Amino acid sequence: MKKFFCLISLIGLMACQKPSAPIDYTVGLHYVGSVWVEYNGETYENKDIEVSFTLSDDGKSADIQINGIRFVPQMPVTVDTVLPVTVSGNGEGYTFTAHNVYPHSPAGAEQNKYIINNLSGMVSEGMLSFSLKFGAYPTSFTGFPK
Amino acid sequence: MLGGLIIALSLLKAPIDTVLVPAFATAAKEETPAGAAVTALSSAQLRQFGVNNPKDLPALVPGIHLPDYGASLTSSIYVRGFGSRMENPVMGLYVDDFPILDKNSYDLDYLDIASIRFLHGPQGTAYGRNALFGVLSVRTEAPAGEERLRARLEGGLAHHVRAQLSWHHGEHAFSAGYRHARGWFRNEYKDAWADPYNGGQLRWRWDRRLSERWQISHLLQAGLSAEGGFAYGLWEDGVQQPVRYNDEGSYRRITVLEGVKLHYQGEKLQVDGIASLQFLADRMRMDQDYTPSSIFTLQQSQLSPGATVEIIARPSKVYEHWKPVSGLFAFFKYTRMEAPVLFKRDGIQTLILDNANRGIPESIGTLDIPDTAFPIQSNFDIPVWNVALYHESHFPVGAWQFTAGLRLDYEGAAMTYDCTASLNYQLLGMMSAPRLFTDRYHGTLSHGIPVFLPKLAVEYRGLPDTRIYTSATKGYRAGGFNTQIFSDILQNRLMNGMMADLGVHLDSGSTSIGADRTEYQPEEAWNFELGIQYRREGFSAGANAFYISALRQQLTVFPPGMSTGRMMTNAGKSRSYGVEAQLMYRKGGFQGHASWGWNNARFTEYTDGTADYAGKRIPYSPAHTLFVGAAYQWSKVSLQAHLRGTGPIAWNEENTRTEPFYLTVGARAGVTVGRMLLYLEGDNLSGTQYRAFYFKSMGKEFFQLGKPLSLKLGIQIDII
Repeated sequence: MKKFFCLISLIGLMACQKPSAPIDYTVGLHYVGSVWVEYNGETYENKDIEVSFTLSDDGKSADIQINGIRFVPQMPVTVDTVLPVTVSGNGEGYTFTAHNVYPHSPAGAEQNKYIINNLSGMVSEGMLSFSLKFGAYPTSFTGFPK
Repeated sequence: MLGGLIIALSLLKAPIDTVLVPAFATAAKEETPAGAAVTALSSAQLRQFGVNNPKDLPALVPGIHLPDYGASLTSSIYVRGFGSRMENPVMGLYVDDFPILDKNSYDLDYLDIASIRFLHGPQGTAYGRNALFGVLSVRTEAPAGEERLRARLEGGLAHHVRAQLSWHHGEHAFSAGYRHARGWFRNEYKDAWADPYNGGQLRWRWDRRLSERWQISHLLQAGLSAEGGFAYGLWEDGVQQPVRYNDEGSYRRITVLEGVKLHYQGEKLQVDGIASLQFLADRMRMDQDYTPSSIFTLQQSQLSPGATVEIIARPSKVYEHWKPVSGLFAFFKYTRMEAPVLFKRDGIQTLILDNANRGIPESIGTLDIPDTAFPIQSNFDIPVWNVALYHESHFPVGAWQFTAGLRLDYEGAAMTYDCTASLNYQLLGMMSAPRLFTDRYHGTLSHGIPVFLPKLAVEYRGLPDTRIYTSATKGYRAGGFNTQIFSDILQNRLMNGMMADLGVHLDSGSTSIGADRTEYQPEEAWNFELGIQYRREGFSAGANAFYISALRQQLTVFPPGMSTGRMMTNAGKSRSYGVEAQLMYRKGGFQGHASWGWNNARFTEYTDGTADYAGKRIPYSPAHTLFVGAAYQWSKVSLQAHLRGTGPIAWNEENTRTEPFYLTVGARAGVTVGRMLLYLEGDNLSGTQYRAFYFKSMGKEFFQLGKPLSLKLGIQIDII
């Protein structure tokens, strides 16, 4: 009987040690964290901002959607925006960049006022982080799975 | 099908032993309801005082006010201080015992009116829906039973032309009428008359006694009209400006009433069956800003068929101490309404872009809509049904009569709304090109509301020719849906939707009501009455005092987030007390008529979303109505003169705009030559300048002036 339980335990251990299934980045992964925006020499923190990363089917580009960002505290609006980025990497994680591209709203409307420059970042199962110049505002984000 | 059956029946030759009846032996409902004041006007009085339309009645009947403004569609009715510009009326209208279902059909030139009776105060127990503060009962001439042909032709100022032909042939009475008017008010912007009128009516009544026990009466009444209207001028810096607007103001209407009454006189029971089919098709076009600017226009088209049925039963035997009457009533009405609002270039700028850009920070951009116009299309399907059971018992005990009654009334209604709007927008600085945005808002609402309408009355008839009465009665005005607010809801949805489409959320985002807030409940009122009436041959006098407490009063409010719209809601409570008095005298060729109504109607609770109006006078209803008239008939010559007084009227809830009490003078002179009557009649001979209507739109104030002096010359010939 002891040998039977040992065998069952060994099988269970082996199962636990089996590598996990690859993450599907095309369905949209959601992260929550702070967006930091520099304005007039000061840094303004947007707390608890939800950002999603959705990889295209061909794995060459992705959309990063930021919901409810405010560039300065006095701004009487919040903005939902989608940043189109170019992606490299594999199923374990990706790095992405964008330069001189325009964001758009989640519904597809142009947001040409906020041209994106110097965007670079990385995404993995456990973290999404990036920095960019968002129009005139240097901006960065680090977030963890929602 | 009903019409075909009636035609077939009417063509059957009447049995020789049947006797033609000029009218029903008894009115379907009691002509003088217990505990209520009644104003009764005969055809001779109506002819003398030039009454062709309910709008000619005010002051002649104390306490009622039916202002003549807008178009035939705007049949605003005020009674005892209550009423409203919109939605359901506070008075029921019956023509030959058939209830008129749609207020849009109230303003009609009636042909061959035999009599008009106004039953003052709530008549909810016997008449139910909308008989909140009274019932107007119009009776048309019954077939004369002989050959009779009468023609009438009338012409007057403002190119007024009226032509009528009335032919009685045995059991049939046919009438046809046509009226034309060039209009009274000129639209200076369009250099055209704002309020021309062209309309025609037809009436066919057929009465027959089918047997000793059965009588039938049939009425077909149809009207067709095309008119202008909405002669509203801006009130600017205390000066009334002329009518000046650039878009079309017009109203076209077809109304049909097809009704059948059956009376059964049994040994134990007499029963009246009253059924009607009604149809209304109309289309209104309105420049909603009433200015030369191209801001926004409304077109409202309705197709509304309906049917009513009522069965009234009472015992044939006259009991000494008990006179009961019971009834069952039901109706169904279906309305298909299309009400597109078109926002034009100036309206896009002032009503939408200016408002929106005030809330959008410059750092985000400036909203632009490059379209020259965009429509908000609103379609509604509104079925309404009602079923009611009622009973009244009168208990005569000596000189006293006690009355108790109760009506159980259930009204159900549903509204399916389907509204769409589509426009191109661009946030300048953010977007390189315009983007199409479309919104659709649709759904269904429904409600079913039971109402209990009790009545208690006591009458004392112990003094000769005198009736002293007191009563406590309840009436109700039906609830409904605010269709006119949907364009405002869509406007707000468009604004919020466009910003959401852009991914921008304003901290001070505009709030808006949803469709669920567009329903309103019935308004109910308790009326307490004390009156005395004295009637002898050729003389009648009456006076009554009333106190009314209105619950869940239907009032117009500014809903949150609405820029231009108002909507009906059960927002408050009001009370009114007052006095009505009437005097009629006839001796030889002399006939005198005087009536006076006074009320003090005030809000007790009313907050419209922006201010509290408790204690203020209820607007639009005059505090006083006064009529003094006298007529004298010599052998071939008749003369009549009268004075009408109205006011003061509060024009707004704040009571900051009022119309002072005003008087107008009318007169008529007639000469009979053989079969011919020549007459000259005039209204507002005093040339009194008064305002008939006031409203505020987009921060601007508007008035419609009352009609000026008018003169008509007519000839009436009894051909056969």
